[in-house]
Amino acid sequence: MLGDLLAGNLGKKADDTLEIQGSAFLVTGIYHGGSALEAGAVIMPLGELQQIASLQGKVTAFHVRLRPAPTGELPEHYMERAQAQIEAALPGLRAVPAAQRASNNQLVVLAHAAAWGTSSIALLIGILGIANTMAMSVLERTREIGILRALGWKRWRVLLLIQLEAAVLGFAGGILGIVIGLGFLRSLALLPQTSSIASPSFSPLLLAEALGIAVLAGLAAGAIPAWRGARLLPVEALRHD
Amino acid sequence: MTDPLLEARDLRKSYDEGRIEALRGVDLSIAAGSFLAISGASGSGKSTLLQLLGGLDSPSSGQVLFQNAELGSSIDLDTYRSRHVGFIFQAFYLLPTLSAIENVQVPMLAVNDGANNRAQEQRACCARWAWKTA
Repeated sequence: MLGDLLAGNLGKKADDTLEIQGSAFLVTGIYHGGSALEAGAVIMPLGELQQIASLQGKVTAFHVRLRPAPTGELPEHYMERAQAQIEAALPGLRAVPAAQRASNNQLVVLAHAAAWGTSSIALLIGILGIANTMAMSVLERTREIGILRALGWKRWRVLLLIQLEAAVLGFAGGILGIVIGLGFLRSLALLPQTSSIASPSFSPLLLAEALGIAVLAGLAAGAIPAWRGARLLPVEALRHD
Repeated sequence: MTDPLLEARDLRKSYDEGRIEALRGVDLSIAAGSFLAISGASGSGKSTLLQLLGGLDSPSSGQVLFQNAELGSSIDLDTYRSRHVGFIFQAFYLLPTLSAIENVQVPMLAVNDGANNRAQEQRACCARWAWKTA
C-alpha cells in the first residue's frame, strides 16, 4: 500500500506494479496519511521488507500503543512505568516515548537546524538593512542633528530619537514580515504537496516573540548610527552639506 | 560696576593642529542689556568667536564665562544653549520636515516642557512678534 503523497509523486494507482530494490510489488491500495512522513511511506508485509532489506528476522522499531492511564495515576508516571516494564521484559531494547523519539529524529533535528540557520541569516540581513538605512539617514540629516544640538538637545536625546526611529523601522518590518509569512503559510497549507507539513495556525506568543525580535533587531541595527549621530559636535554638524 | 553677563578671557581657537589660528587671546566683556556688534574682514574670526560665545564649540584655550560660571565646566554646554542663549543663524536652519509652528517649538523640546506648555509658550512667542497662528 502506498501513501497518497508517494503514489502521487510516482504516478501509481491501485493494481499498478512498483519496483523496489529490483523486486516487483503489486500496489494493493492507496491510503491517506495524516503527515508527510506517513503519506510518503509504503506499507508492506514485514517478511518481504526484511528480505529486500537483507534484515531477515530483524526489526528496527516497534510502535506500542498504551491503554489510557488508570484513574488516579499521572500519565507521565504511567508512561515511565510502562517503559520500565518493557525494558525489563525485553533486555537490550530501549523504550522511548513517541514525542521524544520524534524530537530526536535526525530529520526533525536537521529541519530545526535548517530553520534556525535560515532565520538567523534573514535576521542578519534585516539588521544590516536597517543599519544601512539608519546610517544613510544620519548622514543625510547631519545638519538637522546639528540644529537640534545647537538648540540644546542633549546627546542622549539625539541618541533616543535615532534609536526610536530604528525601533519603529524594525517594528514595521516585523509586521510586514509576519503578514507576508502568514500569507505564504496559508498558501503552503492549501497546496496538496505541503498541506500535511504546513499548518496555517499560529500562537499569539510566537507573533509577540517575532515582533520583539524585530524591534530588538532594529535597536541593534540603529545603535552605531545613533552613537555616531549623538557624538556629532553642533558646529561640525552645521557645516555639513 | 555690575558683573558682566558674558565674558571671554584670553580666548584662543586654532584649527589643523594649531597651524591655523582663528582667535588669538580675545578678552571681551558684555554687560546685561547691552548691544554689541562685532565687525571685521572675512576670515577675521567673527563666526568662531560667536560660536564660542554661543557654546556651539569649545576653545583651544581660555575661558568663556556666563554670569561668572565657566562654560563647559561650571555650566554644561547643552544646558547653556537650551536655557541661556539664543542663536540666530545666518542661514536660519529651519527643519524642513516640520511646520513653522513646530519649528518654533523645537527649542522647547530640549528643556522637556509638556506639550501644553510648549503650545502656550509658542503662542506667546508668536504673539510677541505679531505672528497670528490658528
